[in-house]
Amino acid sequence: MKIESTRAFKTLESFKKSGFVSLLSLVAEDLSPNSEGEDEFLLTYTLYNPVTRAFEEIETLVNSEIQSVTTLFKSANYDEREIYDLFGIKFKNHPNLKRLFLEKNFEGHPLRNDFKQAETWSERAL
Amino acid sequence: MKNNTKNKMTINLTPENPLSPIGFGLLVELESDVITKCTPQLGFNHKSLEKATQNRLFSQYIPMSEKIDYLSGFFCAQAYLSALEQLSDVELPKKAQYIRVLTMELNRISSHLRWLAAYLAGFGVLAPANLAYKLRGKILNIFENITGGRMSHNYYVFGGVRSDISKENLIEISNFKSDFNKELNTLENLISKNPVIIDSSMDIGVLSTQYALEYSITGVNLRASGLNLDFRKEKPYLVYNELKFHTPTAFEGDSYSRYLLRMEEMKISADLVKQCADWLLANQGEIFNLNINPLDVKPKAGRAVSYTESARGLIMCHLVTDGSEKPKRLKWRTPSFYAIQALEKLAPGHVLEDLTTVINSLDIIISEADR
Repeated sequence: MKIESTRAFKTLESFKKSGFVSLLSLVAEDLSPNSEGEDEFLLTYTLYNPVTRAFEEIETLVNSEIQSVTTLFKSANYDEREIYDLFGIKFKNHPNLKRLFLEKNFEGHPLRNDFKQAETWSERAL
Repeated sequence: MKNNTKNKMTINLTPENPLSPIGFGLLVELESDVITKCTPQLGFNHKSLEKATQNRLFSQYIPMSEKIDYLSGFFCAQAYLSALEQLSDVELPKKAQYIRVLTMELNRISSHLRWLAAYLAGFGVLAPANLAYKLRGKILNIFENITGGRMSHNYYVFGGVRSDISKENLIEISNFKSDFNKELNTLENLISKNPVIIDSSMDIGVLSTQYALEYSITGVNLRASGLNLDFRKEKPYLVYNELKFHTPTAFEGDSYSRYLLRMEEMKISADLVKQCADWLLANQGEIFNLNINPLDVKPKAGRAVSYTESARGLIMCHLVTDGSEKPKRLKWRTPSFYAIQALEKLAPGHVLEDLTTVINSLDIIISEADR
């Protein structure tokens, strides 16, 4: 199911109310540059309903910012921090949006298409 | 360690702490002896295994995928190859499927035994811990006979498995169940009614079904909290729908019930191993798909997701390809990543010495969480 990023939070909220209480995974993928030359990321939320045993995949395209779903799903906390760390997508209203894996002074976000890997060790900020 | 007021203090349990055999940091706030807040810190073991896919061929990544979880590498290799085989429309021969299930179930037992040894060592109960290691050694011997490696195997290939299992080995594996059950019962008699273990694990780290689902906990940890969710039955892969097994569930959600379920699961896995070994003894077939070249992997452009029930819970592998010979994006969803997060909920209210029990009972492997 594909939705707009502005409606993502409300859609996920209504899914949660209808019994999809578990966010199994949150995946980001870099699609940039899109046809208009802008940054674009695809976020995929996989939800699970333990009563009906149903799975639901919700896809949304994000430019740089989206509403955080930590208030709905507690597991989204680390998922969103990981995505912020590796892709640089900002999650609004996230309680603690810091890098999860990489160090504080790391420059860039490694899984973005425009990330340039250091060619020599001396180029790396240690 | 810093004293804020008379009774409050914050302790930084870094990975260097010899009391924590875990590779993540914990910032623990205490009020007199009781934990009030617990904040895990990840990243000490980050190997950028997702970024590494972009520079490698599909077949080159298979041995690396086993490093996601070094204790149960077969599951990770299966998760990655399953997504790859979905995208390439490759079907596995029946025999290869049975061999994969056999090795994975043996791996589940060896992983649980390693967990058991660490769990018991956390209580200071070392004699049964050594027994568990000894039992695990027998399974590693079987792995060595089959694959040549004890911990990392590189045994699964695109479209099948690397080599056949000899008849002598199959007979040995088929007889494995009865000996194993005997030794596991001995082990259980030593542990299950041990007052030290009962006192320090019952009602410790209680996780309710609601919180388990909110924190996206899967596997044994979820089943101990009352929800019978097993992806071998929920989304059957390989030949699991041809095999007879059940998944036990408990309702207490504490450390002790997680221990009991893992013990039960080992027996069920031993039974599955026997079923597979007996099938393999009675049937012949190819061990890999002869229509493809396992080194020349070039799936069509698209997305695939695989669901695998590993020893620790659900492993999801999201694979995105663009028609080239390297993956475009690979994302691992690993159970320990979410189990660590649940410590925020589980640790408060316990004394510091119980924290080890809570962490150990969740069966967290840091290489899986940090990737």
